[in-house]
Amino acid sequence: MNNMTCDDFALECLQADGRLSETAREHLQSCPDCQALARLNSILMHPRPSPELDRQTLQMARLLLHQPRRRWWREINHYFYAAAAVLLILVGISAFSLPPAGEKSPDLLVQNGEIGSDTHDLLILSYLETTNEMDNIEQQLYLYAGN
Amino acid sequence: MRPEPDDQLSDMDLIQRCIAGDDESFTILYQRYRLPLFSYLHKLLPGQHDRVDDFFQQVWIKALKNFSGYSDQQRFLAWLCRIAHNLVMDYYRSSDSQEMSEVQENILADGPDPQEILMQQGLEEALQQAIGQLSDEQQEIVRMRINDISFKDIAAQKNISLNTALGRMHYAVKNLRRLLADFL
Repeated sequence: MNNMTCDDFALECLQADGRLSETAREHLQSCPDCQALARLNSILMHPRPSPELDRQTLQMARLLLHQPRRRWWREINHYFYAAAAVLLILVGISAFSLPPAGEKSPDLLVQNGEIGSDTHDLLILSYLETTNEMDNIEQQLYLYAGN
Repeated sequence: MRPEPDDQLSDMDLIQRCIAGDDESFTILYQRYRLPLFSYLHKLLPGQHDRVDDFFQQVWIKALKNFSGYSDQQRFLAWLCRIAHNLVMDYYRSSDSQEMSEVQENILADGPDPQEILMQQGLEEALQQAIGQLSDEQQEIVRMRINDISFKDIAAQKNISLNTALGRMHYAVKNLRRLLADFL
């Protein structure tokens, strides 16, 4: 037999912090009034954000909502400007590196067959010239030595 | 001219208005889900009030930044809870694995029931109104208890005996029961 009164239950329930004694639990099961009280108490003690936390969160949200949005085309704008600047520089360099009007470019000379276009041939020519010069020097040294 | 935000609007409508920069719509959305989200975070991080407050703000900010990624197919509260869960997990992953396993246990052992908490939304408003109808003394003690101040501390702060503090709360709860009879 449970001798707990509703007032006793209320006092225990208000201080219980979620844990009720065996007697109080038995009383709760048999008393609809105390069930309503326990439910109200659990609602009252339900965790809720403080007014200060509410205020801060809503303030931050307002700031974010009114922040100007960054569009993707604005994001890529600086890349676009950099690419355009590089392109401009390249065009400038190529314009200044062209030969003055009336002067034949080396490429044109090669195309016309006025000079050999093959690098290999040029190297052989250079080697032969060097060899001839060395032969001449050697011959002169031989003559000096002979005298 | 655009119509005023309405409490009856769907979550998706409110989100669309938020994306357009309407902060009143955000306030409605916030009021609708602040309690279940806060409760969910409390279950994830029991007894860690400061961290709960931090994560609570972070979740809303992250949600706000990702509103455009929200689809109508999932419930908004579930979406918020997922953000909260991911933020808490990321935090513990980068700090302490022992604490993280405790958080996971909390989630598994005592999973939130947002639907049930959400049903208290109407009750919450009624409760605030009912508290406003109590006497000043009773209002004060109820608000202190809501802020998790123990009866012992209330008695010390108000310079009254513990029994007086308990008695006032008892009468306050009795009055609230009467005022909230439709909900309880």
